[in-house]
Amino acid sequence: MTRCQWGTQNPAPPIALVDVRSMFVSVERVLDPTLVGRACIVLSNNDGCAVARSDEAKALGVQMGDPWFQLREKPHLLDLVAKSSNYEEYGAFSSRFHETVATISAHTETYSVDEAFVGLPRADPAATAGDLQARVRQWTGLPTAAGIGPTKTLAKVAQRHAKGTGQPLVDMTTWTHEEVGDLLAATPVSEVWGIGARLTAGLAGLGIHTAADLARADAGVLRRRWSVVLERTARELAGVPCMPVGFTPKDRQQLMYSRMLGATVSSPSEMRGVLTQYAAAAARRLRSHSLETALMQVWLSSSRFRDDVAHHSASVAFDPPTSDPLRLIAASHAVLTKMRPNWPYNRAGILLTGLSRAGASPQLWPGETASRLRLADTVDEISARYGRDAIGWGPTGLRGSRRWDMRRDRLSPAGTTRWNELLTVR
Amino acid sequence: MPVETTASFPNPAQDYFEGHLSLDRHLIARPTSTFVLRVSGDALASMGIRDGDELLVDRALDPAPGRVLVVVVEAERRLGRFDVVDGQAVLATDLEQIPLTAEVEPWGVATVLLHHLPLGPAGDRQRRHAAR
Repeated sequence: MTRCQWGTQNPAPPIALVDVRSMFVSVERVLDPTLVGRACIVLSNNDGCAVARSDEAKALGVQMGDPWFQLREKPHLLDLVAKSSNYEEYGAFSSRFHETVATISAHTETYSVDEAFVGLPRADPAATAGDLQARVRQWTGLPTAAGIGPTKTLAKVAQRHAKGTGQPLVDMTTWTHEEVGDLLAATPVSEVWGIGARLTAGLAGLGIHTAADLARADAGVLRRRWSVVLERTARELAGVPCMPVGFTPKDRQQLMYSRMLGATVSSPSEMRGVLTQYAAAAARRLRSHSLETALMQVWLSSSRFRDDVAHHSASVAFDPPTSDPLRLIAASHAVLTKMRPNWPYNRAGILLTGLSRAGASPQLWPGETASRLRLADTVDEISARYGRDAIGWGPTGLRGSRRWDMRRDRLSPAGTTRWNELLTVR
Repeated sequence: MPVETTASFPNPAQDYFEGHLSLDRHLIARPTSTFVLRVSGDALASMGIRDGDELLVDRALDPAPGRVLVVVVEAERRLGRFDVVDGQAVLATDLEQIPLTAEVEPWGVATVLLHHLPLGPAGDRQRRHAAR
């Protein structure tokens, strides 16, 4: 059994996990104060189903994933406000959130859009975390919940407890050994950071059902039967820091860009436009992470709710690896020849794997590549300045709005990201 | 030792040039907490703040007398000057005085006013083009 090290003798500095409460709904409320205090949800792509809920909406029984076409028919939900996903604004507020966190602690790690790990001082970590939350609230308008623990994994347990009990902040480092043990015993192992459904089933076979069971498990057995990652998780639950802030277990392994189409697409020429746009977007993301890909998988599929589902995919290898939008776009068209005539396709996606740091492999024709990438930079800059519709690649060039574009009927204005849609004050 | 081999006249400023003037750096002390808001209406016309103007609003600053504030009153963003009248803190506009009570939520402090001057029909068209 691993020695537990939490409490006063713990040598590692405390770590907080800070997350924005119902991030998407909270951003909508900063943009539009009339939403404050009202039941409000944000819908997925194409206004499909609820992906974020205000507390008021939860209290009315709205569940994650509830389809909007059902919710809007229910008499007790007449006052429920639904908004389309406003990715531009969520992205802008996410940056502000992480930048604000970084003004309080130099020791931070962006864990997701709305979560950050923060290294805290040993003396009164809760005070620093409280200051941080107050600053995020003032500077960005976003409410947060935070958990503090001696390790990342325990900070995550503490944060889950904060959310579950409606507290803004839970500091586990001031708890007694018994109190921590009680909470871990009440936490199902499936709720522990990094434990998925398959692992949960496997652990149940060893009699490991709760976080406390996992903390007590033999680290060697976990490593041999599963992985060093699981061993780390177990040690962290026992209070031994294995993943310092800023340490991410592995590099990005793949990059996926897949969407439901706003309307079905049957013609290869129209689908060519879809793929061009998706490949250009995937290339933009790839380059924003300074990565190159060695393998593209591209696929199309028709509705899953029909008996005869069509699903085609093609893969294209790149040697040397690339992030050139033109090469990626051309590769994405490889799947077009497989389309069935007049078949209603409603989903397309691109998966890039074999990722490596840009420039890691030798270039045969460096000059050509460099000028292609400069072109890509220029296109990115033009779309950043004049909007995504100002310039583009090939068939989607000056695209305006397409029939298959995502449906976002209930979209709030781009109030902090576009000059012509700015928030107003009277 | 480096030797200047160019025959053209050396730029006397080249050792002093520190980059072009950046309005962002000049006007925005804290980009993270600064927002741009569009003024709707003429509530503070007496201060030269007109309908359609843009305001830089810094949420990191605290309200203080004399500052121009953005607050949320009855679920609406409102603009006004923080005044103290007979010992009572108010948000003063050209039309009314709103008492700054607990129900009024501070949103930010306006730091810079961007007011576009008229350029005539041709100039306005150019500007609209540039803003898109």
